[in-house]
Formats: sequence, C-alpha cells, structure tokens
Amino acid sequence: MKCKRIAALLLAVLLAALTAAPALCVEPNRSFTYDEENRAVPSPNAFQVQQVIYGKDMPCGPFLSAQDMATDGEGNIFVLDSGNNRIVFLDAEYRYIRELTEFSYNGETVTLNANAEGLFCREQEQLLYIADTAGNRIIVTDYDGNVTRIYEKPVSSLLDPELPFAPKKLVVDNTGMLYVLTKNVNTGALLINEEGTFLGFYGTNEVRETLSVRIERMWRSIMTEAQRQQSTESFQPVEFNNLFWSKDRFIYAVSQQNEYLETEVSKLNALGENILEPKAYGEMTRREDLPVSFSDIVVDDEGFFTIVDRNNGMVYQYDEAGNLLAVSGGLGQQEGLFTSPSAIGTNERGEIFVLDAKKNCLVVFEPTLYGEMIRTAITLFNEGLYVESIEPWKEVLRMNFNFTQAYVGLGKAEMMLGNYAAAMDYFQKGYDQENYSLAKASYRDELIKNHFGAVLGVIAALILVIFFWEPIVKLGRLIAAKLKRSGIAHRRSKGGAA
Amino acid sequence: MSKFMAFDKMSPYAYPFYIMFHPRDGFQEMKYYKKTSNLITGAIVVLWLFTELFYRSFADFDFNMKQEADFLITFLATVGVFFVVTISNWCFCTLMDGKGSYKEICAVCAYSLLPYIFVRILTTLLSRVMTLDEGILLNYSVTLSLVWSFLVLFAGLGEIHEYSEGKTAGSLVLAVLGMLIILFILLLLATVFRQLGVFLWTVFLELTTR
Repeated sequence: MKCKRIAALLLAVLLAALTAAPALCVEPNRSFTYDEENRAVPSPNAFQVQQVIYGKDMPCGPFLSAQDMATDGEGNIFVLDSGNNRIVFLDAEYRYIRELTEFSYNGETVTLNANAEGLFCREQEQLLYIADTAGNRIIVTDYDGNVTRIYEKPVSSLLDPELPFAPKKLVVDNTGMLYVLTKNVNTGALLINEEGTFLGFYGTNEVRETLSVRIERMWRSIMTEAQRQQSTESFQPVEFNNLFWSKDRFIYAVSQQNEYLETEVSKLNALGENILEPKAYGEMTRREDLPVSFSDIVVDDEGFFTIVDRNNGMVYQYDEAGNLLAVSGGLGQQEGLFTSPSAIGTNERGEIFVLDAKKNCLVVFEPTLYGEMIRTAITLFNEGLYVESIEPWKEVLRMNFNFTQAYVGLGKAEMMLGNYAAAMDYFQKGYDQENYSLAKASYRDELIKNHFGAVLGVIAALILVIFFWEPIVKLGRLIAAKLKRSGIAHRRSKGGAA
Repeated sequence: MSKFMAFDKMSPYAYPFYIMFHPRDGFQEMKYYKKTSNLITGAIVVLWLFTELFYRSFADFDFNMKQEADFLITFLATVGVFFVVTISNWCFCTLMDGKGSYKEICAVCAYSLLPYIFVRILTTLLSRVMTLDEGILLNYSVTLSLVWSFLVLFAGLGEIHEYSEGKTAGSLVLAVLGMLIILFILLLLATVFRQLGVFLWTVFLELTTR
C-alpha cells in the first residue's frame, strides 16, 4: 500500500516537473523602468517577441540594409529595402504581398538608386513618397508603380547651390505639403509645397544656452575674422534623424544626443515649435562613447510614442505626456535584440515592429498582459476617467510595484474620490511632491471644515485667556490661598483631635 | 551696571536666550564673569544634532523627498563640523592675539546656533501642515535665522577675542581656510592609515597562510 502511495507521489512530482518545463524557457527579462533618481529598476517585460520576419522566407528574397518602413490605415506595411532598390509590400498579418522594383514615369522606366533612405505613405491618396537619396529626388508613386510626380531640388536663394539635394526622410501633411530632411542641412526640414516650390525651413532643434556657449560667444565677439574661421567649436543645431506625421496632425521629430541640445524628442506644432516637455528621453545615464541617437519614432492612435535608439538597440515607449512606460530590446544577436534598428512601426493591435538594417529582418513585438494593463490604465487616466483606472492600476502594481506612474495614477483617482489621506500616501509612493502638496492642502482644508467648532473654540479660548489673563491669575491665587487656608485649618483640626 | 548685575544673577540656563537678543553685551559679560558652561555648550550641540535628525526624518514629504536620516552623516555634519570650525578658529586666533580660550570659542559657536535651531524645529513642525506654495515662507525664515545666527557668531567672536570688526571678518575667512586645511589633512591621514592597514593585513596573511 505504502509502495503505491510513494509511486503515485513520484509520478505527480514528475508530471509537475514536466508541465513546469515550458515556463522556464521564456525570454530573459531585459526590461526596466527608471526610478525617481533615474536608476534602472528591473520590471516585467511589457513586450515580447511574437515573430521575426526574414526576407529570405518570402518569395522576394532577403532584405539588404532596409532603411525605412511605412504603414497605411489598413495595417499594410511597406518596407523600403534600400540595398535591393525596391519596396516590399506586407499585409497586416506580416504576409508577403508583392514587391515593387520598377516604376513607370511618362512611359519611361524609373528605378531607385541604391540606399534610398526615406519612405512615406499617404493613406487617403494611396501614394508612396520615396526619398531617393543618391538620386537627389523624391519619387511619388501609387501602389502599382505609376509615378505621378518627381520632386527635384527646389530653386531658392536660401539653399546652397553647390550642395546636392539629398533627401533622407520625409513626411507629407494632409494638404500635400512635404517636410523633407536632407543631408547637409541642419536648419530644419525643408518645407516644399505640392507644386514643388520651396517655402522655407520648418522646426529646428533649439540650442541650449549653457555656460560654455555663453563663454564661447563672448570670446567670439572679440575674435578677428580669421580666428573665427579657425575655431572648431560650433553651436550649430543638431539635425533631426527622423520625422513622424501623427494622427492628431503634429510632427514628431527625433535627433541624437548633443550637449547643446535640450531634448532629443520633440512634438512640433504647425509653427515648428516643440510642445512636448523638453527633457531627456531614452537612456538616462548618458555616455560620451555611446551617445543616444534615435533612428525612428512612431505614435499610435492613443498618443503613445515609441522610439528606437540605433546605438544601444533599445526600444522605449512613452505615454502622451512623456512618461516612460516600457523598455525592451537591446544590442545582440538573439531574437528581440538588434544590431542596427532603422525604423519602427505599430498597428491597431498594439504590436510594435522594428526593422533591423544589419540583421535584415522585421521583429514583431506584442504587448504582454503587463503591457496591456499599463496601456488600459494610462488610456483611462489620460481620458480623465481616474476612478475607472483604479482597477487596472492596482493590477499593474500587483505585477510591478516599482511602477511609480501607477501610484501617481491611484493618487489622482483617490483625489477625485475625495480620499485625500489615501491620495497623499499614493503620491508619496509615486515620488510626486507637487500633487502630494495639493492633496495635503485639500486634506488640511477638510480637517479644518470638519472640526470647525473645535478650531473656533480653541481660538476663542485663547483670546479669552489673553484678554482676561490678569483676572484669571488673581482668581487662581485666590483659590490657591483659600485651599491653603482650608488645608491648614484641616490639618490643625486633625492635629487638635490627636 | 544694573545690567551687569542682572546678568550676574541670571540663571545659567537663561542667558543663552538673553545672548540671542543681546549678543554683544551677553558675550562680554559672559567673559567677564567667566560664565561659560561646558554643560550648556554640549547640550546645545547635541540639540543641533537632534534638530537635524528631526528635520531629515520628520519634515513632510513635499519638502523632504527622502524622509530618512543617516545618523553617521548627520553626526559628522553637525558635531564634526562644530569641532572643525572651533579648532580652526582657535588655531588662527591664538596666532592673531585672540583673547578667547577654546572653551569660550566653543561657547560662542554653540550659543550662536540657537536662533537657527529654534527656527529649524519650528519649520519642521510647520512643514507638516504647510503646502509647497506656502513653503517659501519656511525657506525664507530658515535663511533669516541663518543670518541671525551669523550675526550672533560674529559679535561673539569679536567680543571674546577682543577684536575689531575688520579683524573678526579676517579671522573668519582664515577659519574657513583652516577648515579646508584640516579636512585635507584628515583625508590624507585616512588614506595613509588605510594603506598602512592594507599593508599590515597583507603581512598578516603572508605569515599565517604561507
């Protein structure tokens, strides 16, 4: 009997071990968030690799140094396979549709030059804009390869006639205006209207007035012209690496780290001004030998933006306000790591796909339960549905109690509900001093209101004591004297009895 | 004369408060009557230490993100600094014909801390009920109390060393210089002794484990 029981137990243990085994081979935890002092704290993965798509598994053959990617409203993906001078069409499920190698323009056959860098898809018009960098032109074509227009270098006195027109990246707004980033130009994107006329520059990175800049300016003002020519120090604004045209009609721009640069990610309005909080994005511990350089940015329908750093291979997702939500990726050969991420895209399912120009593949990430929960919570929170966001926030905290944003969210929800003491507690856990102070003010006001009678009573008593101090003292002395006398009398009477 | 008499009859526990408001008279009379008390000096320095600990651990979250006090660091920042300042002042003032003894220098430094200590305690308590906007008032009052403390210190040092204002200012500048020298020597000593310790430890290891 005993033997059987032991055998059954052994079997159970074996079964448990067998079923547990698949759970062990999950991908390594690379994700982290930053705490209040910008130290990296491990966190659960918000994204996991769903699949990796290689060109060699498709009829078109392998990709070569693919530089850009565009998506349309249906979720179709257009990969600019720069090394092979073609555009590869994928559907929303990442299946191969076809490729586009030759274009026809007024009856002539046009092909792309090698290493074209930019691709943009204009959804409504079903047009593809290709920045043919080496060909010094922008090709506009429909999905079947019929070129409708070719933009050459615009004529303008503001553009150096010596320098060739080498478009890198471009976006096109709803009116058909082109915003083109070109090589050799750091004064912003070239603004070209639909007819090909140059209208001006759009959105430059602002140079921060640091002390060294001011000192250098001072020196320069007393230098001779010849010395000024020799000076290597330059305060040229850093050029943008990439642009993104978002649904809410803003242009997001990313650039690389520079000591004079205020922020690497900006959200530009129609005037070309940054309306995002200027702060450090991406890696917080900045290094000179591995500078932060974002190669692409993508913004989804809820306003979350995801940036990818080409130097450290990291993918960072932020909410609308610029709060870090998730980090994934890294440098390496494993699936989910990159060697040279060149472009990033997203779709309606919340998946993120990154194009790697050296590994020649498209890596698809899908959000994990944790990532979904953060998304739900932030979306509700940003819509002002603070109370509804309590449950998702608590769920997020159950999975990652280091997520400070969740504490701030819960604090705001408790503020809405009027639980100021609880809100203070949450804000403290979320390291949010301003909101803590607001909650404290409300809590204090509520306390005074609830105990108004007592507060008034104490004040009245104080006033009375101050005004009638002398009579009170006199009265006290009188009573003390009386007590003393009666005490003496008492003792005397007692003594008399003895 | 009547004032002197009053001071003479005053309880030793009361005149730190008298000195807060009448630093020149107070320190002069303290020196004259030899009323420096090591007990009170020590008590004030310990009170300073506890005030700092109290502030660091009790001031509300919106004024003080950390809300935790490291005893060793706080000890060095109060008691340690106190001794470095007094020693460096004593060193220079003995060379500069200062009439004050080390005991008196300690007393002046300690007594002059009182305004700061009281305001610090008060602001720490008030930080529990005040918000960030109102907190500017707290910061201002701390700054004011520091100015007050400095004036008391300045008057007191001038009085006990029997210096003019200019000489007092000069001695203070030298005291700061002296502090830096002392810190430098302390650091140097620490590194040298660490090296020595490592050397002895290696010798010990060589002898025992060979």
